Amino acid sequence: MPIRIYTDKIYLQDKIILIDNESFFNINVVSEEFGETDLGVMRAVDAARLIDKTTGLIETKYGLTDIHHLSTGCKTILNYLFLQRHPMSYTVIDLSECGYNALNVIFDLAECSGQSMDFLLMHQDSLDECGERDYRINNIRSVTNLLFL
Amino acid sequence: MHQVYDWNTRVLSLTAKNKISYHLHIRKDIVIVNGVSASGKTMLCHLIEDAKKDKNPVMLNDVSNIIVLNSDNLPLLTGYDRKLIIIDEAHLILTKEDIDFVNCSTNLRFLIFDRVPIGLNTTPNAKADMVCENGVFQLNYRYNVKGW
Repeated sequence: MPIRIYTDKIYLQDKIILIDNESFFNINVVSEEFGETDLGVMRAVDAARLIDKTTGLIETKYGLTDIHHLSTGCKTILNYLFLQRHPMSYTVIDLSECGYNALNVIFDLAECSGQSMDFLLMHQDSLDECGERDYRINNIRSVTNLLFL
Repeated sequence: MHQVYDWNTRVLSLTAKNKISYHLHIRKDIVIVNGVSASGKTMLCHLIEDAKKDKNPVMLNDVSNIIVLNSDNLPLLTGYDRKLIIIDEAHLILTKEDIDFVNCSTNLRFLIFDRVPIGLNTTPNAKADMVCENGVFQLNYRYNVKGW
């Protein structure tokens, strides 16, 4: 199945979009629920290791901190995983705060386990660094490289 | 006391207690920082905010001429003078009127962390990536073309 991406909100007028991933994460996501996939995302994007599942203490390359100091890109992917465990009214998640490194991780997840939400991506920064996959853009055209987004 | 942002040299320089260091040359009045996730952009905002709240992970540093803009202090934007305004996720915070103000401002400087184009009047020379080299975060400008 291709990765479904929309480049503008005008294509999503009847859908509910999770836009502010930073705030959503800080309010809803708790480290006690993290499974192996969540831990793998933290390692892949932020090079972070969960030390204490109860308190959310993590070790990063810059020292000890907590999950609220993960990058916004990492939080976006963890929100995506959270919404798979706890379906809410959101049917679209905004990936515009994700760099290409985070985008590759969430696209891999969507490919492996089936994409449960549509993706909104309003930037084109370094998208040529995203891997070749089948992408469906705005439900209009298909590409294999986001260079042609 | 060391002033973190030097208005004359345009350099933001700080070292936090955990030895994290930033040395950012903000070469234009509006600089847009992109790059990979987890490159240290939001961490800089947190360090500045914590310093202002006196949690002081930043050792003996004056951050009084730096503002980390958010939805709470956004109404104060037009009243600031000779400040470096750092805006993370600008497309979520700024309205069209705010963007017009940023474009027309002559007494403020802006460091914008966002990948979404929002209509800022900049040249490609104002676009940079945050990178960490030898333990110090720096800005790698993507272009340096005369006349842009």
